[in-house]
Amino acid sequence: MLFSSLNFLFVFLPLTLLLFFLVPGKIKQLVLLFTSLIFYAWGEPIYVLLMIFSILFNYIAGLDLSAMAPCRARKIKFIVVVVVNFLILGFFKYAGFFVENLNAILPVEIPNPNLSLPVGISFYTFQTLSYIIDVYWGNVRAQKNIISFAAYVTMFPQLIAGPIVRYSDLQEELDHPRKVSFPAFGEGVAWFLTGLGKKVLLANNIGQTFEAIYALPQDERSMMAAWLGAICYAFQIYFDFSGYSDMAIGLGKMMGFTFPKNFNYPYTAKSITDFWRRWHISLSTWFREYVYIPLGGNRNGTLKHLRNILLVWLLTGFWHGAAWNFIFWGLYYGLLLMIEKYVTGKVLVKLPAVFQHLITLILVLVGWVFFFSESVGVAFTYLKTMFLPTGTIIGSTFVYYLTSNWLPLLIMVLCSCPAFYNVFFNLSKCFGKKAHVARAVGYLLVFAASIAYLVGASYNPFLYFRF
Amino acid sequence: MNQQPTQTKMLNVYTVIEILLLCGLAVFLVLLLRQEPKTEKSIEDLQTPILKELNLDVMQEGADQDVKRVFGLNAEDYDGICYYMPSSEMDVCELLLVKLKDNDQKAAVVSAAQARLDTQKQNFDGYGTNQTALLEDAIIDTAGGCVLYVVAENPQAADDAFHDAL
Repeated sequence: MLFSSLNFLFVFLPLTLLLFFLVPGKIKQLVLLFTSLIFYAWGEPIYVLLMIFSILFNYIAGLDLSAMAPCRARKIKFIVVVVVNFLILGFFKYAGFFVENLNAILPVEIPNPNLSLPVGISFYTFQTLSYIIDVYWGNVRAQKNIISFAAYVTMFPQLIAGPIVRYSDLQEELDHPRKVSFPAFGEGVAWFLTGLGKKVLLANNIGQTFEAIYALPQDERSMMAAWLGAICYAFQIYFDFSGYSDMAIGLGKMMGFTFPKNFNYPYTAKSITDFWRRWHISLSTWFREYVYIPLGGNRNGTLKHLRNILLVWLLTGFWHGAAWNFIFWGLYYGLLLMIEKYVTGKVLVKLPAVFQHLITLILVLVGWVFFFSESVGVAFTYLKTMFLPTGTIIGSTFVYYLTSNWLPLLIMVLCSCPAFYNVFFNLSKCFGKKAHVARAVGYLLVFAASIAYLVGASYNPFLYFRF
Repeated sequence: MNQQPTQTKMLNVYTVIEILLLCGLAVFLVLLLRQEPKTEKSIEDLQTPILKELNLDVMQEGADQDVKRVFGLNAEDYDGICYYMPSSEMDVCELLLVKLKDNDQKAAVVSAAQARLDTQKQNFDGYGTNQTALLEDAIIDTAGGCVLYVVAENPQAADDAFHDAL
């Protein structure tokens, strides 16, 4: 079930909130668990069993590790638990990829399991791993209440597309649930509606333009049309994913949980390093805390630092999908970050800010081409159209798509910058004591427009669903 | 004061539970792998028996652009698509049969079909009694690496034909 579906907005969410606030405090987590399982089972009921296994296994493993004194047996158990988690993720997400590649390079015919990917498996596996690792390191106490632990893993607001909420971030709120105040609930609603607007009004709209441009035969796609397509995709994925994250954060706030911010205006970044401090922050944080720093980070000399960067970005790419283009995308960023760190970084900061933005945005757009292309070959063909003036430069398709999309594009440029939101808040202050009413009217307009769009349109994909 | 953990043995009650859970997982995976092999038949072979169960007077064959417009799906992303759309604004009978390239696509196609059905229900809610009744009986089904969405007088017959054809 998508947050931006009518079923969710008008049936699931109202009923869940009603039930959540009607029951006494101690039962709230049980309600959250129950409704989250229904939410998950909506699409793929069979994979609820896999999630229940993951909950039980990691819950027991957490208790087991916390009951043991530091010793070799404890270390072995920890490794086994981590390996089991990765094997499950690997089996469902990567088995097909490995089988296809083995069949291609070896004289073998291994049957492809061809299983559908359990929705959100990458997110909840990383969350349970954060719990196991932190328990092993002694950073958090093992959760003794299985309902609280299961509620953490299954929590529907962030279950299928993050943010990746580390157990340590939520432990306090799970152990000592707070009463949700009316202002906090209102803040949650505002986050949710902002996210809904981003997803439905912006991402869905521009997504159709991107798909139309991407679907053009190569000889009909001019250089400028290729650039426009990449720009449209950059906006689509940003508003799609950050919109979904905002909705998740909002739902969390409505239920008394504080999820970490996942995006911080990434397209205002002045460097690739800066971009990744602002894009999918929860994933970058996870890799930094559990892979990069344990490997030594930048502390053990240049060569090991380079190795650590490459490894982390290889894994980041692979996390996004079992395909070579994602691996390439990850390595592309690893390489850019290494170059920025050791070669161009000091030069870049001396350039005027506008050039820093421009260079960063171009590099990010190139990255998105690897991300949206179905193969590395297709990506290079697309990039060739973008950078080599071998065919039409402008073309009628570019003119058509630009003239029919200039306003949404302009709105998206504005919505990608913090200044736009500051203007909204400052304008609402003109209403004095009724500023909150003015803001509420603004959010209601976004809600009404989103519903009008959802009722009339059947195009409502969600890009990060497949990860 | 917190009690310090003292256990150092590899085997304890938790380990036994973990092993039992892993056995359960192994059984689950075996059962999962044994279910639903992907059909080897082409989309043309699959659609013929289904179309025999439908009244084609109220439907017309849709092009790839119609699939894109109505469902938001790119025909070239799939092994095959058969789409018969309502022949007029007041008709609701339609058929979408998608042969997936891989099972990862299933959720997106089902979601697109569900969104189409919801939209149609909204469109006819309140005044199109016959249409609403047909939409209420609509079937979205998945089997053999295919997704079927059918709105028809007798959608069950079409669904049965779909399963027989796989």
